[in-house]
Amino acid sequence: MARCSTSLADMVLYRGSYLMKYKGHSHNFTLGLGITVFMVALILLGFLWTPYEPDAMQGSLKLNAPSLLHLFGTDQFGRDIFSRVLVGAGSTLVIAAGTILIGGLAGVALGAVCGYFGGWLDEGVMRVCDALAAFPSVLLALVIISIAGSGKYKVMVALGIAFIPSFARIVRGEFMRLREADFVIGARLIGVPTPRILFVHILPNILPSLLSALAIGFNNAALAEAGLSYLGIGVQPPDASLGRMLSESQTYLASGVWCAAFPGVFLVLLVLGVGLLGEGILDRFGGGR
Amino acid sequence: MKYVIKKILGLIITLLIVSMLTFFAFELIPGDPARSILGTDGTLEQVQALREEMGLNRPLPQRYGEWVFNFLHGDMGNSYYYQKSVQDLIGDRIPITVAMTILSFSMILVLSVAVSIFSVRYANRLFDRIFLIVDQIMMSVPPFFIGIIFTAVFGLTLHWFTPGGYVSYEKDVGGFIGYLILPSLAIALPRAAMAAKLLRSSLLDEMQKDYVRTAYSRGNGPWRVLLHHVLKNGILPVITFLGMTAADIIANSIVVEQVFGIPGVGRMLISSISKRDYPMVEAIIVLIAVVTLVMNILVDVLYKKLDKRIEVI
Repeated sequence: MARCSTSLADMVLYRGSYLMKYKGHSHNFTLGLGITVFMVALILLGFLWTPYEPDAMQGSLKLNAPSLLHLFGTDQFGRDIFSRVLVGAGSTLVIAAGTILIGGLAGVALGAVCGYFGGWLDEGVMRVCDALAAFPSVLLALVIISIAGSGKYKVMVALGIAFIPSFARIVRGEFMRLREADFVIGARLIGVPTPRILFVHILPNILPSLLSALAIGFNNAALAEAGLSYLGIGVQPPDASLGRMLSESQTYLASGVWCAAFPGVFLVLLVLGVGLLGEGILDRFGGGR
Repeated sequence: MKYVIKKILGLIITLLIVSMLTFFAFELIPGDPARSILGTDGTLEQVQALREEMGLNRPLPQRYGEWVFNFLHGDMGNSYYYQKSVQDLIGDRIPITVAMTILSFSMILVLSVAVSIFSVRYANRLFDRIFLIVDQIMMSVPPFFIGIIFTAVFGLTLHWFTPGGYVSYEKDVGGFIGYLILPSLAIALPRAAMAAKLLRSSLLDEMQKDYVRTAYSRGNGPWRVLLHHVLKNGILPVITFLGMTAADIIANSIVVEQVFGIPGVGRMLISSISKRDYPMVEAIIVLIAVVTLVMNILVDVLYKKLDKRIEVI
């Protein structure tokens, strides 16, 4: 099948990876990329500019329905919900991105070393990872939060640590699969240093599964953050957060459904976009399994 | 039998790791529990006396050992906040969370099997296409948001239930289960969507196999082939996923209990975390770990039982 477009993702994915097959067009990929880019662009816009000050209260505008002036309506204090959703989704984005950065880096390093070398180190690390993976990662994050306290960056670190085992297991599996592949043996024979084999030769070949795992991780982190903030132990005021908005909206559900609907739908769209993108990457480039 | 023993040994090691991590983690926190119980009024002597009474002056490994020993004998320690034993405080909350978990799990099982069978039977037809779209969206909705939607639609608009009007199981078992149906469904829907997706692709794979053609050629109708031949094999890969679902349900029930105002274990956990009531937190975390790990093992054994090719016992 002819390649319709050469996106940046294609170039990243193709670099030096000859085990990967291009499997043709994927609706999931196109749609997911579209939604994700749109949502992320909106959120990034929210970092620079919002139509109103997110915390500005206006007594005369309490619980106003959506209108042209206030696209998503106003909440019980007369704050503009659209502005608050943008800023709140910003926290979600930062936390989810930070989580997969922390979890991903540590997980890749651990998984690569364990999968490539095997032995007692692998046995030990994987035993601990199994123990932690049998445990809901949100609970693990809860433990860390109850020790370290809540707040934007603490939640990020807590979730990041909680997600290490799942990434490590996936990466380890892929490295074990490839450690005896011809191109790895070849590289070893001509004396390529081991770190280079791990991260320059093998890593690009596992990109499709890694990226789709990162997409799933991003979504789990975004949903976990929203859940924790809903419970009041995630992002703390004055930082806006979608979870907290949803929790506050419950009191006004009868008189202002939009207070709950827009933050929720915004979160769902972000998660949907990234989820489709993750699946699209697998559809399009395959895991080489 | 050897397999089961190996599994149980693994369970014990895992539990030791989890309990050690929780126990030592809570020891690392700055702050003195004795001081926090007595407040700022307590004199130094009182604090010292209480520390001695609570056994905080003994070495850490010894305290861990005692904690494990007591835990195994049903004594989970005393809550700092309520000044009562932990098992008394969570005892009557456990049935609520268990009931919710069982309800959600059954819903996940029934929903995912039913929907994916229909979608495989009518693969690439209208039902299947609509299913794929709805399924993908369902997977992206957090359970607590579904809970809020349910409250708005069924509670405030249709008046099917009173939001926050939880009915105790001691008073009215029927009303209790009735109140739990929507929260359980809220937890079940996203997970059922994932299970249905996995099951659909697994069933579609099975449909390509030779035995399916044989079954057709022997005069079986499409429904019979699907229900009697394909489902049994196609559900195997999904069982592992269903096993991990238990942990997910419990994690989500913590949030959904809050949405519907259900006084379950999850709410206790959250309030204990904000009150820094560590014996409670430790006990609940370890209990949840036990439940999820036991579920994992049960699923493993069930899996091997169903798949006759693998010998277990």
